[in-house]
Amino acid sequence: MDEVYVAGIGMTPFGKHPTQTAADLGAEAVLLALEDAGAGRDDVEAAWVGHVFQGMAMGQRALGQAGLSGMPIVNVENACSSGSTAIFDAALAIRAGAYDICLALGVEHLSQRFRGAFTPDESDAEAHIGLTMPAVYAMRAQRHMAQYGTTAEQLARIAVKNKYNASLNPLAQFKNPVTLEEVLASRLIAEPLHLQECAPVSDGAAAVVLTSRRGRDRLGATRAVRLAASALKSGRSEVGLPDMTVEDLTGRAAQEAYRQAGIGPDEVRFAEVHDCFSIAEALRVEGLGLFPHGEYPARVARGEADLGGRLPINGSGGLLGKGHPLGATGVAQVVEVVRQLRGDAGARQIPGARVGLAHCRGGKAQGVEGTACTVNILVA
Amino acid sequence: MTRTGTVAVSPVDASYEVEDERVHLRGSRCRACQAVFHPPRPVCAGCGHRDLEPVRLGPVGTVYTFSRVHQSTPDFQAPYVLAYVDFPEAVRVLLPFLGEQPPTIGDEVDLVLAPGPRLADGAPVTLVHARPLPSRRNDRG
Ligand SMILES: [Zn+2]
Repeated sequence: MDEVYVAGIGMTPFGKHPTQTAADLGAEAVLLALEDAGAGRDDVEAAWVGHVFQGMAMGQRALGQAGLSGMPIVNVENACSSGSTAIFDAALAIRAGAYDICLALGVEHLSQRFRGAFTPDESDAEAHIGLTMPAVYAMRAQRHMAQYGTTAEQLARIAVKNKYNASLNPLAQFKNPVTLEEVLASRLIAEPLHLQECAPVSDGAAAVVLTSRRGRDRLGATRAVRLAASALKSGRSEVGLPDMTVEDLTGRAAQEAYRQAGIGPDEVRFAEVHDCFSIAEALRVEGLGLFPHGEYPARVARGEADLGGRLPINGSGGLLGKGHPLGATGVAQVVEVVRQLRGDAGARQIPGARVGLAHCRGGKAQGVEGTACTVNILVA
Repeated sequence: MTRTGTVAVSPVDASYEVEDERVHLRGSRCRACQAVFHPPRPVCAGCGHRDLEPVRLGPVGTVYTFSRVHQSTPDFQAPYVLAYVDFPEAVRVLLPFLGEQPPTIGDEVDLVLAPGPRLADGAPVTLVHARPLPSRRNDRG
């Protein structure tokens, strides 16, 4: 099997972009990634494009805007894991020896489409009862609090940490740190979660150029970073009375990724994880085996997940601070991990980081634990 | 006398039945692995078996978790309370919770038909709700 490398990265600022279309944002990210890789448009042999709500042929529109056409383009929808599934697909094609240089793009323009809380698909009965995504995570938070003594204040500290990290990231949606008091004083969305503990509505795009070793050498991409693992799993049907604080889906994706990379969770030096809500970050890192089950919120309060802590989590600001343009999120996580491994993360640089993990878990469909989950591991 | 119905807004939604004024949910049990599902389904999600028998859930269950929802879509009137209720048949069902006061984890509930938080043409839609058992209701005065 061929090794896979990330040879170039590109990302737009995340936030509200009223004057740009999704195709504009996607094209900007693609051109930045090609430039970073030293690749021309004719070098790209195939492209996968993740998005959720952008309509038919988003990929062809975004790539066309960037002057790329004619090659195989696959549009990928896998809820919030759409972008990272595009990376999974491109990496698979390279490993299989089909291509040497591929593009994975994630793009979403949400601000003109959505307001308020996200809900599951209307075909789910639960959506008719009033189940929103914040409510799903609020109910899981209630269990975490009851089972492990987690407090609303500890959960709020996750948002404080991520918004502080975002203030160090010039591409993040939120520019200013917030205090614990400000998070707890923001209005309740679904108890115990406050507005500041929920990812915002965002627009943005992120792209990576993925290559084989041969493709990397052809481009002369000397700063390429190895994608040591790319795992994708979907949620299992829920039968019986499962513990809602346990992420079986995250756990299975992580096991597959650790197996591919030949490492264990103790070798991961930092991680970007899918913190769509404050409690979500706890559920993710505990499911990944990065922190003991039930203990993460208390450890955040002790600073263990800070940029200067034992195991920095969401140094980019995460979804809570950087923003969450659904399809773009999983690609942006990989962009951040590559930046860190190259030593290009500026004020939020984690010194000496050699192994980074990106976890992206999307969606809710009735009767299954979660829609899709990817874990990518990168090694400098 | 047994009366049956399906919530009008969604044909796949919570089917229920009312007998002697007690509300039950309808589900299905796999004859191969005994897994129980709600709403009823044609194929077992646990083992893939296709032979499932109808089963009646409740009327009493236990609150597994809950939240009071303050922000929803324009189709719903917030605040409202949702709860995941565990039934003795080993199945967990999401239900709206009657009233604005949330329960606590472990509370026993039964089922009642009531106007839900969803608005169709401006009017609430009738849904099966969880409500505190009478002893709990009295506790709350
Ligand atoms: Zn079965």
